[in-house]
Amino acid sequence: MIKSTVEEKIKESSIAIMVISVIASLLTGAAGIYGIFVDIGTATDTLSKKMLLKNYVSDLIAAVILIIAAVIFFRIFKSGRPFTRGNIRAVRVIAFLFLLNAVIPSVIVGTALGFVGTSIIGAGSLFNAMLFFFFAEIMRYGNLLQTESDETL
Amino acid sequence: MRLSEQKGRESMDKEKLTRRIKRISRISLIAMVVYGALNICGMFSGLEVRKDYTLHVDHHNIQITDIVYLAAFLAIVFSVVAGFITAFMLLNELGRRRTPFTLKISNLLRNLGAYMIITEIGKIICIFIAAREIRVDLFWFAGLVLYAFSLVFRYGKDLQKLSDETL
Repeated sequence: MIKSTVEEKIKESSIAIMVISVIASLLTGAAGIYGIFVDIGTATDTLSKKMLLKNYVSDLIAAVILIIAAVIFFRIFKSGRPFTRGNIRAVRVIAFLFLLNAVIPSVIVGTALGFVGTSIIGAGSLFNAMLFFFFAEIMRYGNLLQTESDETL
Repeated sequence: MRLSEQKGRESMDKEKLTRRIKRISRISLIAMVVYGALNICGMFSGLEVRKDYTLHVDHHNIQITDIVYLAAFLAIVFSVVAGFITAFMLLNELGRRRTPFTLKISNLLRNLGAYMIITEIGKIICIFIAAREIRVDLFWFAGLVLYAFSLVFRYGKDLQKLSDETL
């Protein structure tokens, strides 16, 4: 495929994903905020409250991740270049937020049930965090190639 | 002189990064296998009481919804297995190649995205038929992102080609 065609395709898919990210972020964020301020109040015992809080905190973190994803895809749509320093930093922030998502909700439940017998770290989020750190490294490599290409042309 | 020094530094950075990418992909490969095995053993089943979305089929009176449920369930099984194999091949490929930007890796990423979307659609159909609920997770979104990343990798492949031609 010719480079400009690939760039066009990247731009098209980026704008689509950006719109979906924004919508998903608003819905997830609204669900999280509604849950924390309204739904938790209806729970009767402490364990149920902590369980609900855990889910809604995860929702809020997911909403922030989606907003950052939207920013990344907006930047790609605008410039047509995925390998920029800003995007690398944003991917690292997403990885860090996944790390937080792996730890914070489990700690919330741990305070109710005790840390013995509960898994402290969410394995799924930890795996996602690792993948995003990995993507950041690949993007760094891409950034080097991009710089080289810009200097050559 | 300064230009050649800069070029040398860049190629050293590239080598360092390639080595790091290879190392991380090998670690990810092992982590993926361990994570898969732990999931199969149910060690991370969580504390929540999981809802049962099994559909009880009457063998004497099979309806069209039962067939759709079965088809969706088979699609989930197929896409999960295929997704796992694709992810394994992807990480293996990343660990072996000189560069992460190749057509094969880009295609594997695209396929992985497609399997994730199929899994999510299958899950939505199964839950809807079994419990008349609509439950949408962000799995389909991850699939779309992977598709976009496959295009980014294709772009990277062109940059890699340009870089190889320059050197």
